Amino acid sequence: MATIHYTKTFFQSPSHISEDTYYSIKQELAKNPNFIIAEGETFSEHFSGLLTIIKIGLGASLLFVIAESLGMSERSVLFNLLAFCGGIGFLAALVCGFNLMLEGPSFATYVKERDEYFSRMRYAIINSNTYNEFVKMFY
Amino acid sequence: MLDYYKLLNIRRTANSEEVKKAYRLAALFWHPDKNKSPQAHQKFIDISEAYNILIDPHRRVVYDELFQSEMEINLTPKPNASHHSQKHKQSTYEEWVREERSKAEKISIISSDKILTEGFHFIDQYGLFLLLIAMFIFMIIVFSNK
Repeated sequence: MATIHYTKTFFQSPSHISEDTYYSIKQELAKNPNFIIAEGETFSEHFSGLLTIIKIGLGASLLFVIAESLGMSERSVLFNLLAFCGGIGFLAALVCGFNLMLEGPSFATYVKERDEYFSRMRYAIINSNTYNEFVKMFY
Repeated sequence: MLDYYKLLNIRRTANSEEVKKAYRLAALFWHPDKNKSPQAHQKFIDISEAYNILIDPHRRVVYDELFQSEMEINLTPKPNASHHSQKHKQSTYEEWVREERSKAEKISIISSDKILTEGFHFIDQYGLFLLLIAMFIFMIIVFSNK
């Protein structure tokens, strides 16, 4: 029997940051309020390959649908080429879409939890004066 | 006060079509979804404000007047140069700016990436529930056809 392998992603809170890290982040945030504490992949960056294939595949099948609705001759080379590309494109989009449906939901939740965690951390660092105060506030 | 014409890179006599075209180009360039530079967010809000003021003929007239008088004041400072109607126009204009900036702020945080993340997060949270609804609809269709 065929087996489908896919990755499920979870967010695991990192261990406590050290006092030195706290003060260096605080300094960076004072210099640049847009400073990003931990840069991570976004949803579209992580699935950029799949999303590109889906876009191209759906685009190719849309071209075929347009050619069909315009009443293009079925004997013409262009129509057959469009039908071939449209078919392949639709199949590719379907496979990638299925893959995205398997891996996407857990990754989206991971991205949301990660972003929430670091925005809370950012708030706690900005609004605390000492490391101990930060630890009490955040952890 | 921002120079909207300079911001959108258009002449002061530009018509609404030219304003629209310039805004589209600028918005495409500065949308935080497309432009990763740190000033993109602020620039996007500024150009949205510029567009929404210039595209409305009434607001544009008020803006032009206020901008002109501000330039004159800067060139030849006069005490008590602003009389009552000028003050009224100024406060109305400031109200518009606040309104447009808050609208632009909301638009700027909408990105294709955010929509995808929220959508898939929703599926992750309510996937089973959505599947049950789909099955329920499918059964209704099947039984109604019998």
